[in-house]
Amino acid sequence: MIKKAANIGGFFYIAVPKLTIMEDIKEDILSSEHELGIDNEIPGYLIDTSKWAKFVAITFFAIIGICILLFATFGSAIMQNLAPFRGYDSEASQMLVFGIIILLIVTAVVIVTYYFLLNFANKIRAGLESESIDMVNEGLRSLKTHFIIATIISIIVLLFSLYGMIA
Amino acid sequence: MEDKQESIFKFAFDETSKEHIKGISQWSAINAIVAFVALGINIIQFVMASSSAYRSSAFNFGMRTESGFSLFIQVAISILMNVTLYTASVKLKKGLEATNPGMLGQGFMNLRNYYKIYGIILIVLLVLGILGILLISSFRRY
Repeated sequence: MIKKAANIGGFFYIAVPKLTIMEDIKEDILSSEHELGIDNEIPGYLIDTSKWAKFVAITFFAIIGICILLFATFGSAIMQNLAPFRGYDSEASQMLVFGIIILLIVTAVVIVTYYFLLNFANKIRAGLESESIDMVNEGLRSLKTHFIIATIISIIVLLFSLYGMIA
Repeated sequence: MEDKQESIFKFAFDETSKEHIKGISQWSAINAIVAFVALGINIIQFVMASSSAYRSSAFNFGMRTESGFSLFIQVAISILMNVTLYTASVKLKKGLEATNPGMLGQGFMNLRNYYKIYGIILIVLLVLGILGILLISSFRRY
């Protein structure tokens, strides 16, 4: 309410601006309880991470593929060299079979682990480009799974190392 | 590019995202700690083997010195990678707890650096491997 200053009948009216408080306006704070706001740098970091993670995953797949190719190519020669160890009564034969099984398991585990890393890279990039939080979440879940598998493998290898050291 | 960047920021991490980031932070921390423990075990094994090699012969000790150099490189790379991974884990956790996008950003930056180091090391190993194969094949011809 503004009272106009005027000389009316000897009385001065003073203009006083009244401050209006907009009580109905509430700040929509996105970064409070339910959502964590993303600043300008996080998407850039995530995209860079996805590029490098994709490179790492593809490199591991390439190495495994080359190893499988080499074994398929020279496998017969290798098995011929290992012929003295073959034989149903030989302990060395059993160790050889055990070794091959372990190698196959390790290969499978590595493929699965880096599959999730590749999935993370693809989903994060696609999610950020299409602004889809669901796809970003899938990417983050894949990265979490990758770390879970990698950590479990690391713990198993560590236990074997400790056993080897003690024994 | 700036318009594209502005459009990317129209959404925020929701509860599901936070759960996944929390999981990533926890498991990457465990991964880094396990890697440090494994590194410690490697060093102990090397020291034990070196002391027995020193007692046996000078040749054996010389061989251990050579493998000591490779262990040194392994230690340096492992520390570099796992410190970066652990820092990423800590920053992500703190960013989530404090609902601080800046700290979260630093966590993702460290995660990016971890994979960058991983990628660079793979490139170096691939180049060395290829050079090694070429050298071996060229020596075989002669």
